Amino acid sequence: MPAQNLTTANVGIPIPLAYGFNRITGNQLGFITNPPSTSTPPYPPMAGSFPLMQVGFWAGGEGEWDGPDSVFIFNSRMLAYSSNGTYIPPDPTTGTIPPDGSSDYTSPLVGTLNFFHFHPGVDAALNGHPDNAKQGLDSLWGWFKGLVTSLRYTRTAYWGIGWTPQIGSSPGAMTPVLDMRCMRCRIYDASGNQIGYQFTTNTIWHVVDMYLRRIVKPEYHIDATLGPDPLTDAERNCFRWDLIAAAADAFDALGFSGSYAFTAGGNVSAAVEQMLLVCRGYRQFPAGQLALYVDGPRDPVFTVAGAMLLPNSFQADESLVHQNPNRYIANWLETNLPAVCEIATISRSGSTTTITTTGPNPCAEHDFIVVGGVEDDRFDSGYWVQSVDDSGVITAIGGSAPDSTSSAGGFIGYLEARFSKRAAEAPPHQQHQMAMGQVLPPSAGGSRLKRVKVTYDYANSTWQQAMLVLLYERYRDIGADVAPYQPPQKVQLTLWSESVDTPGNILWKRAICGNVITLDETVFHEFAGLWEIVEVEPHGLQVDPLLQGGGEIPQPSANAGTIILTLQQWNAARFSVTAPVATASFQVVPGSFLFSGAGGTSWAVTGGTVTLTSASGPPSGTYEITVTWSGITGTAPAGGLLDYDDGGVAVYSNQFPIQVVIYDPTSEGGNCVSVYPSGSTPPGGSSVILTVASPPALAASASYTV
Amino acid sequence: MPQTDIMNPTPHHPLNPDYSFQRKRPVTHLNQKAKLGAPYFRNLTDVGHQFLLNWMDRPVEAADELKWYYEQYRDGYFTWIDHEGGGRNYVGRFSSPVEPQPTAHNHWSIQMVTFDEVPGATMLQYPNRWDKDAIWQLLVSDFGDVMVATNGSWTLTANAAALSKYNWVGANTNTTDWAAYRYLGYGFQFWAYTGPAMGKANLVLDGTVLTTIDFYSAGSTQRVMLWQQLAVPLGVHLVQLVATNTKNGASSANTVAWDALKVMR
Amino acid sequence: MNLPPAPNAPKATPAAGSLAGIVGAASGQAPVFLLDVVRTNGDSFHWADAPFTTTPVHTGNTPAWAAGLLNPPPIWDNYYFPWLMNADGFHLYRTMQADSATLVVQNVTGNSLQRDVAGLLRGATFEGALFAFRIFQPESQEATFEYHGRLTLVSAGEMQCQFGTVPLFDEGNVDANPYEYSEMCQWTYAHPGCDDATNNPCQNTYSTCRQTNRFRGVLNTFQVNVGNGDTLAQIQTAVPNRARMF
Repeated sequence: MPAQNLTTANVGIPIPLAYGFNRITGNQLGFITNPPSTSTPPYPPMAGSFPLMQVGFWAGGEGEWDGPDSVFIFNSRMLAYSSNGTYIPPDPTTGTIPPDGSSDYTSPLVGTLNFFHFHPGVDAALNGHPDNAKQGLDSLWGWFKGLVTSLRYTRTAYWGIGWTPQIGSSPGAMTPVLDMRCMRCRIYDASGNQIGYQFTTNTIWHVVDMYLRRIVKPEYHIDATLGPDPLTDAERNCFRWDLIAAAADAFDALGFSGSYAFTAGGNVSAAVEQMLLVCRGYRQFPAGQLALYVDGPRDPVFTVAGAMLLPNSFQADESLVHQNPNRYIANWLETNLPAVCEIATISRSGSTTTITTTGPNPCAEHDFIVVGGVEDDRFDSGYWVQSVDDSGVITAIGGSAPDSTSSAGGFIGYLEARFSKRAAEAPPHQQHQMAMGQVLPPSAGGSRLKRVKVTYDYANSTWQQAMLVLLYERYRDIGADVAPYQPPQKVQLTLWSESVDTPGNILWKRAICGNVITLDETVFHEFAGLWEIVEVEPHGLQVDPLLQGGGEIPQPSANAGTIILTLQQWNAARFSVTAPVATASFQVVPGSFLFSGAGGTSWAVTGGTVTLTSASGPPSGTYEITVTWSGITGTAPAGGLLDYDDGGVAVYSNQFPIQVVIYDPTSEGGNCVSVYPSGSTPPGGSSVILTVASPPALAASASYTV
Repeated sequence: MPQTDIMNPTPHHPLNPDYSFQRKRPVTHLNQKAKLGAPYFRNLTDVGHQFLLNWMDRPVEAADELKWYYEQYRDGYFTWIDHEGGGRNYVGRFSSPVEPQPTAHNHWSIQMVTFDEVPGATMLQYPNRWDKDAIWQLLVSDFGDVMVATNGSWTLTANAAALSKYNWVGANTNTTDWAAYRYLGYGFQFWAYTGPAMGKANLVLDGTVLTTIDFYSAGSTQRVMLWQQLAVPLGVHLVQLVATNTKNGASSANTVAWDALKVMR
Repeated sequence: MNLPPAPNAPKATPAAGSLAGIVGAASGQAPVFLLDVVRTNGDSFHWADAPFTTTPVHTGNTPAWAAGLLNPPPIWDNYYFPWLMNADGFHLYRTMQADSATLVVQNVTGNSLQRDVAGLLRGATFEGALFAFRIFQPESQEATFEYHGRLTLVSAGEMQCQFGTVPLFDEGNVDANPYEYSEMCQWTYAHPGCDDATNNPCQNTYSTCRQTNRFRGVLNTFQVNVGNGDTLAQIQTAVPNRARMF
């Protein structure tokens, strides 16, 4: 019996910390290859006929993670689809797919995914207590026949896979790759009340999570049902929740998302810096509390007048631009799907969809493709390619567009191509390059541009976000590329510490880095305007600590009664720069952005009653479920009743900013009807709010308490 | 009690210093002048008076005694009386060494000895020349700054008859209301007006309630000295008028007021 | 009596009697510097540059040293001893950079043999003590500036004791990935992730684990190591080939 690679884990490497969407290979924890078997339990542990079976466990990182969107083995997507192309996701609680699924359910070219078990990384049950559903002893350990010690890998997100290679092939050990929704984070409102615990791509909640798990509350449980331990009052008081919630809202308003993994064992400062880099963020500690900000337009909070400025203390320079780079390059892994071709026409007939492309396309039979951006967005969906004729016309199954409809436009992409490495450069800043490279006067003619590059790593991002943030950095550092060149200047000045401006703002309270202040004309006429505080050096009114020569008359301390500010020129125009239009090579499939989950001071459905009325009932065919919501309460910035639109397989509410979905993937009103937040098809959302085990019969209604 | 040790108890005592000893007032504040506008003033510390003293041609007994006062009170304080200056007591110590020099047989000179007041020291006799040594701390400074901080329901009311020409008038209905002022000096006097519709408030010095001031009088009277606190050591002191939500039984309202302080310097 | 002429009319802004009015006045008394310190053993200390009484930011236990005071403060945590000589060097940045400020405390008071502060330093460490520094305006009962962090002892001399400050969260010295894939459990014994209540510390190995369901490590069975990426020595060596049972 071959025992290849039996249980070998890479040890001595840091357990990763991952937020947002990441493509994960994982650290193999154990692996065994078993011969074909038609036996019954106890060996093999599952009843049934199994050809050669490879079973392994892989660890992702520190839990709790939300779950996978895709599983690839040998570059083929392995999660199952029914014969009509409908997506069958892993069961959200166990991660398993039907173990006796036939080969129709998977790509026959690559192999059969028999088992997929995901464990999110909560705490396992204590010895002597029943296992919890999430982090119990995985049944796949039975395939290891007791040769190794079975573990629950508590607090580690990991997965177990049982896979059969294509019959007749010898591909070697499987190499699973997962597109993963990583860390679940606590979400808070402006008062510091926890209102959610969920997957999110809002960087602000990632940063809060980092501070909590490493500094403020490093010792806590993650209960399989209750989630992480709540914060104590003292722990909650470590944060400025009003500012943090506002930053989270600003993050969402910009349409940003944050996805990154920390694997190299660096420090929290470097990790936080990376996270804040992707969203124009920064942090401060007013009165010992963490405050987070997303840089954006804001009003000045203090006016400096000549009556505050100490004589001969004003200095301006251009050190910001001196020797600064002027070629700004962004590297990222694209979380949208790169478009592989453009759609000319798309039409539906029966269960078949026909697609013609404007140019050659790389599609082939058995491919799973994603379509987005079609003029009729009912065609935006995933499809399973049945055939491609010689002229490149694609015949596919899947989607939910009505029969006998057609449309045009859109793009095709592949899920496998998500997280492609991209690198793009901001338009060259010629004015700065000329300033750095001038060795002959302008009258000599020609150009001598000195180009110095800097590269920003935006982890997993999109073209839109990467370019917006890159251009923001460039504008902030070296200003606009216009002639005559006026780079941002830096000013340092010393003010009387007890200054209060005319409206009554106290300098001590306004001298916070990141605040914008006004220098009025009496300070320095040519430099009047808006400036951002980047450094503060305060000196209080105090005496020198040492008395000289036995005397008893203390003297004022050096710099007593002064606050030294370092300012950077402020120009709100840097927030209005728009990302360049993506060239063809950066075209993505519209709408292929992964669901980001609730962010900001987000939404949580906290309770109420859902009444389902079935318009046409089982046993088969698509039918519509009408839903009446009553008493559903959600924590939300604005109130309003939850309403819905009917429509086919998935029913979306359009009155919550996140879409609450009634999903019936089998279209049969069966036991997969559930209610949970989602934003994409297939559903990639997080918590199930309500599972309906027994939907009502035709024309009947039933009420369920959320 | 060290303050009871008076080095020169009488005007003719041999330890009285020679004439033309220098009375100094060390700088205790910071003046900061910005590019424009009036300079800013902040008092930083509570150093008191300083004297540069000389004794010429004294017998050895006097020299020995002066030396003893230096040694004994290097880390303490004693009382020195400025008889020439009206008999005012100062409590402090010699901050520079006493170094007697014989100039002839039984003739000693002790020169340039510095006497510094010690803040916070209890005094036998506190300065009490209110007409000469005290200064007014009005409600509004020369620069138009209202110098008395308030918390709660207080109204700044113009009053031509008041010392400060303005009063803080407090509703005195909430016991968390207060008005506060900090000064450098010794004792103080609290001045305000009284009237038939006035209440009672506590006068607090450095956190200790001194008295409850009754602002009631049958007729209205301006510029009343409602309290004098003489025995206060040198230092920076916080005076607060704290609401009590009470009044005299004959009064028709709770109102209290602040006009001015007179502070001993 | 000498009465100065009537002053000018009060300024319209800032609001009379407010903190802004007091802070922004052309004259007045300097604010008070307040320092609250809590050591890792729970003792609290309150120092200021003037004797002062007010509500503190941090509270803690009364240190044993206070039992020797002739007139101890009625409420330990509310009274500030005038021991703070200087507080300077604060430097705040928009970036992740952090600087260290300096807090100077007198080391003179005590009796003829012992100094107060020196005795406190020897009694228990101040390293890592939590502190809150405020610039406090007594008239208004409010702080205009507040800074939190932790202390580190820079130098203790015969006259003064100098503390440096460390940022409160000190992100630059905290591991982002403190846990490793290891055959040793990554939990500290009785950490909530471990949750063993037998008060019987393990050695972080699986064989000594009291809560094996919560063992946070990986276990390897070594059958072969050739071809697993391990660097091979250039001399003939025996290949380990063993199975380890637990």
